[in-house]
Amino acid sequence: MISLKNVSKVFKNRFGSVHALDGIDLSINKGEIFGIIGYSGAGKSTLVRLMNLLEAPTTGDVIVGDTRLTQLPPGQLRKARRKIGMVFQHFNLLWSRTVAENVALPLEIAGVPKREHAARVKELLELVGLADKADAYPSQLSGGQKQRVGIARALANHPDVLLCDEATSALDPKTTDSILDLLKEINRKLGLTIVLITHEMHVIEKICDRVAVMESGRIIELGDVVEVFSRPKTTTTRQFISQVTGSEQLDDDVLRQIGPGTLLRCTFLGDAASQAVISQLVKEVGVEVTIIQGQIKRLKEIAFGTLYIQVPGDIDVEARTVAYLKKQGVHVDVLQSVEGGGAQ
Amino acid sequence: MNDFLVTYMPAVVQYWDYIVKAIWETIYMVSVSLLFSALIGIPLGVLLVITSRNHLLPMPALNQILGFVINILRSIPYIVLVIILIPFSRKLIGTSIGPEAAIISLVAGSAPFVARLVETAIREVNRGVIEAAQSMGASNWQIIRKILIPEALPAIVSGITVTAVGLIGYSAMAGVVGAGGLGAMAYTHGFNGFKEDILFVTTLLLILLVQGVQMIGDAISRKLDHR
Repeated sequence: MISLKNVSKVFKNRFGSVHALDGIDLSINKGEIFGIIGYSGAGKSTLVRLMNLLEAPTTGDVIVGDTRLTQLPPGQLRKARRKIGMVFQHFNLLWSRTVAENVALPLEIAGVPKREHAARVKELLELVGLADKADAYPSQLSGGQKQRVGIARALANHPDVLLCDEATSALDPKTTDSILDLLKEINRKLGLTIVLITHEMHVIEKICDRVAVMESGRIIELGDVVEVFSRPKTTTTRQFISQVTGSEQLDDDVLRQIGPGTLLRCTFLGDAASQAVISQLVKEVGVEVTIIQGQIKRLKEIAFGTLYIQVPGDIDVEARTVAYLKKQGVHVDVLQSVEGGGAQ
Repeated sequence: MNDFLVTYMPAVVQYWDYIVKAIWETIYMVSVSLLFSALIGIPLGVLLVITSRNHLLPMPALNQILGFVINILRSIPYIVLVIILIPFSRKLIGTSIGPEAAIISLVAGSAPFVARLVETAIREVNRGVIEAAQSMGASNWQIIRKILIPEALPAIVSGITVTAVGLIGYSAMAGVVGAGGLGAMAYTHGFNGFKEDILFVTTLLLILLVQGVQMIGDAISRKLDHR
């Protein structure tokens, strides 16, 4: 549905130039929900704004549907944009217009006959659950309601693609979930391709089919959400996973109170978490295990967990424990070794 | 009541018809000048914004020339402007005296002012909203008509109100070109004619006019503002 071919974007200012995007190749399938995650400055916002050419690439091609946007003259580009809806972090509604008038704006812009507006607006407001707010002004709405208006507005001209630029980043967690549910529903009902960018792992986990992880203007990992997050290849991806699996850090206070003995941090991913690794460890290696702190969460169908354990014994016991855990597919860090001092 | 007026404000009673005429002259001058100032100033204000850097239609050279001309017009004292424009109004409307001549100088003085106020108002329009309209495929003209002006309207109305009040003040000075109005009445009959009661009443009427205009302007601006 959307193809980016060797796309780069260089921003020039008087201090020099910044490579916001660096040779991106990306293909987004029809009907999927595609997530792009990255920290601020990674270039994700620039990337999504390329997809309707709000930002023109310095080099490369942007193709949406059958149209090569980068080759269109201005008038035709405007026409093509009507089929690409966009939702914004700060909603960008017109406060001078009522909810219904805001939703009608894209219809006016596209030159849809006025008599058709009311029916279409009603339909859209029903879809996003705001039929009773048609005559309210945006200032009278909550953040979540404003974003619903934003979504209704983006859908007005029956787009094939919906671009979401941090659509939930200004919302509280509960509202975020309700907006994500709405996006998922729209995706299923209308068969719409959705591209969303976010810095929240939760958003990716909840609704995305595929994900791209971005860093320094490049895509560093790409694939099915389950696949990418069950076998993360980069530290950045690992950090995003820890957003939903909880903190991987042990409190300094706890660390100080811990007596002698081996202290291990075990990170479970996928299958390892669902097996009785620790009880097997006790049985097979014959060690005593004290669980200091731990957390296991599920992300889609994969389990993720971090477990801090303490194992009393000598260096030999420590070595065998670490070896056993590694064999089971657990990622082990030695925080404190019996030989004095920790690895970290 | 009548006795009171005849005793304490004899000139006001004597010249009442002239005062009424002066009220209408002032209202006529101010409203016509305001209309033309808005018709010229609003498009200029829009142009000042959209031709600036990183906006809809960047045209740095035009933008700077426009800004420069506006600044020049704004720095000329009104009373000087009136005199400078005498030959111009003679050419344009065939006479250099009377309310119409005054209107020419009033518009020349306040249209640039309106342009600056409109510029400020439109610059305040959230860039995100403009971007949203672009993402919908809006043309620049649609963005001006459907986004920039409606979103800036309360601020534009406030600006027009400020201009109207200023015009009431300036129209008093336009008496120099024989434009009439309350200001001229206060000056010629009240001040030069030593008729304090006329000076008092005409000033009072000007105060009421300013208050009225300000109240109406504020009410409209408030009604339009849904922020």
